Amino acid sequence: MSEAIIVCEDLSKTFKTDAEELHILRSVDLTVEAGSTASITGPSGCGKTTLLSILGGLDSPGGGRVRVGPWNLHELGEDGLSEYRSSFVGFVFQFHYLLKDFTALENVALPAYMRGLSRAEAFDRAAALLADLGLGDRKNQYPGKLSGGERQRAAIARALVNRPSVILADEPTGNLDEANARAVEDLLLGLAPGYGATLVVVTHDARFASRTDQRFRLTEGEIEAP
Amino acid sequence: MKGTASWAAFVALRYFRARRVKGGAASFLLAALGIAVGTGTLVVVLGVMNGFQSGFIDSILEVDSHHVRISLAAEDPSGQEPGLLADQLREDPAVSAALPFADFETVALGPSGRAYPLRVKALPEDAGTRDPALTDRLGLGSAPFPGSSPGGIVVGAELARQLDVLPGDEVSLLTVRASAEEGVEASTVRVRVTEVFHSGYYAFDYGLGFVTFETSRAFGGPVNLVLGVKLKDRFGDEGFAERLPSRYGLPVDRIVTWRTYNRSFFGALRMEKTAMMLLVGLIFLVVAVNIFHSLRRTVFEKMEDIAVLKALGGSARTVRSIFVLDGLVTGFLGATCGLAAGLAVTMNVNEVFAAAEALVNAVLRLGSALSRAGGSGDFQVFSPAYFYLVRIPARVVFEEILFIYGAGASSAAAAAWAASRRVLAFRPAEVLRNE
Repeated sequence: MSEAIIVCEDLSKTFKTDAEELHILRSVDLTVEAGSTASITGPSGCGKTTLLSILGGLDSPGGGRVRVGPWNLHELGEDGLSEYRSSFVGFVFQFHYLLKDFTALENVALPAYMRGLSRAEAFDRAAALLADLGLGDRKNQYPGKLSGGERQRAAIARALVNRPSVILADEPTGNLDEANARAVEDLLLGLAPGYGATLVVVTHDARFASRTDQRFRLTEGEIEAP
Repeated sequence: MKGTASWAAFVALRYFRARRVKGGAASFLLAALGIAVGTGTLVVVLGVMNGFQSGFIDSILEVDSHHVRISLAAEDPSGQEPGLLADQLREDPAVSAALPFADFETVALGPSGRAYPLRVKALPEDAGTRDPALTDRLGLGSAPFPGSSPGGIVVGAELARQLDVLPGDEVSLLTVRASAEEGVEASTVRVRVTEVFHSGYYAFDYGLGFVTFETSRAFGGPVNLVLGVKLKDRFGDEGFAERLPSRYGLPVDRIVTWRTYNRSFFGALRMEKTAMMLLVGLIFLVVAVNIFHSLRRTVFEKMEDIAVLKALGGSARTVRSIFVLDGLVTGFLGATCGLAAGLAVTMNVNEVFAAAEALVNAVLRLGSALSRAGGSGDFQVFSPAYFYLVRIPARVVFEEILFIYGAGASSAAAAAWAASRRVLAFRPAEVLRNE
């Protein structure tokens, strides 16, 4: 058995509103093996995105322990989480979230530039990645000029540009038509192992989930026994 | 993090370019223009105020107050103490001139019978030689001052105009003697105007005259003799005054520095300048508020981008710096343009006013010609009928310019810094949440 790269122990998360406390995650225990692909499924509102946000360092855990590689996320402050996001994970969102004032190339190069690569190195790496993903001739287009599938491919390229150890994808095919959804699914399942990265994907798509090595189902904030 | 500044600058530049392409650069240009107007106005206002004030201060120090005043015990200027002390002080390496003098008040009567109050300063015959800066300031060149001519007086140009006298004409000075036996007796002494000076400082040109010690005897003087000392560095007055008692055995209470002697007037000048700076500086506040609101709206509109940049690994501080950079560029661009324009106007303020006068006069003449009414077009910004000046003086002080430039640039940056505070306040997941 491979070494665990993601370990959640007794993870919980609560949101407080004026009227009530919402327990989004309740004592979640989760282990994902390094180099594997994993899916998290479950009904809407069950806490999938919250769990992925915590794993991606976009949100803080309310309680429990979360370790991703060497990073103990429950102990990190804002600066530590920024460093973790920059160096260890790549994120693919349901909505591409490409910056609209930047070309596809600039969008993909930006994380590498932020990571500390020179501008030339970052752009070279981004251009090569876009070419690999079939967007070589579209790299200078702004997101508004790209199709939905192209945008999501550019977003995947952006997630891969820093060669992260973990790729987290939140409903990456949720906004795509069938053909584009399958293309993105193939791309993620093929690319992540190819780059030596662990893939964790949140999806409603049972077929996509069935193709992953590990499958988790979240219901009312708790991981169901497989 | 390595390269933090460069990627933040890269993003800021892209946003700036996008804003320009979308026609949203107007608010940026207006903000920069506001900073430029504030900076330029402050530079010109303070430059001209400095010009006037330094003219006043130089006139007062060179003509009247001197840098250090020492009240002398002996009333006779030929007495041992004043002469010896003046000689000793002239040997001091910090001293440029040491001149005994005595002031008395009188009334001057001209040939027309009009009377004007006059303060007369009694000096040695060779005062001009002992203190060349004094005659320079009075515009008398190398002429002997006040001269050895008995019964002569040097008066200011404005007083000469009021009395309607020229060099060679006589004026009467009122003298009052009081004794227990004879009571108060007023009489006049006729003196001849030997020179007319023009210091540019109205109070002196209108109300100050110079005579020799010998002439002052006709008025019962000289009394209350003072030794006026001028230093090579006038700002060394405090240290010099502290040394005087130990080095020359002078009592402390007989020594006054120019800062103490002129405290009320120079304090008023400083207050006036500070008040003017604060009032004109309000422009920066107005512009800063404008930038604050504009950038706060931008931050709100860019919330999704900010969340993405943070999600990609940008720290909150660096993402915030993108917006602060926007303010800095606005501030520095505005302040630089304002500074350049302000300095250009300050250095050529007389030419600027001359051009403005020419323009107004041309318009007036054109208006007169069109309406067939007579009009000379003789408009003057500073008409001699109301203003006692030949040229508008201007003086640029480097420290003030630096302060104005810094205030202009930093007001925009501070506004941007405050407006972008919201960047620190949220986590990316709060914006990027899909559920």
